Amino acid sequence: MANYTITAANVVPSAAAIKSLGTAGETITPGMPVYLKSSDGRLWKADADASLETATVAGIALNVASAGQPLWICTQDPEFAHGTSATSGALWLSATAGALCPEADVYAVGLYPQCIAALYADTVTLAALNCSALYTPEVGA
Amino acid sequence: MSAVSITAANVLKSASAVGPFTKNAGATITAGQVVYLDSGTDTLKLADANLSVAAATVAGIALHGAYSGNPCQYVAVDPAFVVGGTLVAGQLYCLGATAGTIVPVTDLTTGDVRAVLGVANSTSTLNLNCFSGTVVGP
Repeated sequence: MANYTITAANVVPSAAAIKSLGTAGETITPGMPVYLKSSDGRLWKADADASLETATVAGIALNVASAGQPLWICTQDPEFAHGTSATSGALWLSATAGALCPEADVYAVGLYPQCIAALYADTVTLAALNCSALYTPEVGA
Repeated sequence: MSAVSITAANVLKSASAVGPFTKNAGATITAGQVVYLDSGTDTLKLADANLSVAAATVAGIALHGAYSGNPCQYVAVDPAFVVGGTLVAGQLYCLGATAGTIVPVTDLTTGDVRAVLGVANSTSTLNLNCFSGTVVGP
């Protein structure tokens, strides 16, 4: 299966969302999962198979930002408008930087599976987002 | 002269900027565009010098892109604001009659509210200090 496509304008947090502000380390667009790089303290596109650090998702980007510009991220949201092409199941971090994919794509050697959000069955444009989940990334076997 | 051509990726506040402040976007905004606060929705929209006095009451300049419903940071005071475009040193810049734009004051005409953004320090930075007129200009 392929990565989900993201429609940036459709990525919208709810009023109950928990948001955080950081600085982009590269060009980021709404809907992209991002991680916090320890070496520069900036937010970069998360990646499921680059390293444990890149696979530790800090949140979902909420705005367009170039390197050095402010970047808002959503870390938790019970009704997050995810803006992806997913219509069921959950959103998982992809092995493509800044992308999300279905669960079927995450079980591979050298990949750190991480579930980001679960779609609502009745309103598929919304998802329960939790980037602070207790799920511990593991290398796929 | 014409509106300053902004490269969104190059817009940056300085370390001396006041704030910045944050409100949700009520329209699609890109970095470097001038914004006002719509009091009815409490959201940021693109400021416009000849739409209305309210729309010309500048809140500041957006620091990054934002779609409607998402938070947007902006600054109104910054002694060395990098606008992301080419300026003329010493020129006074104002809000333009095209939504979100920055223009030299000489571009404004009858019916445009004079909303001052600041004076250029150089070809790239603006001594940003936003304040707007309360009536339509002559």
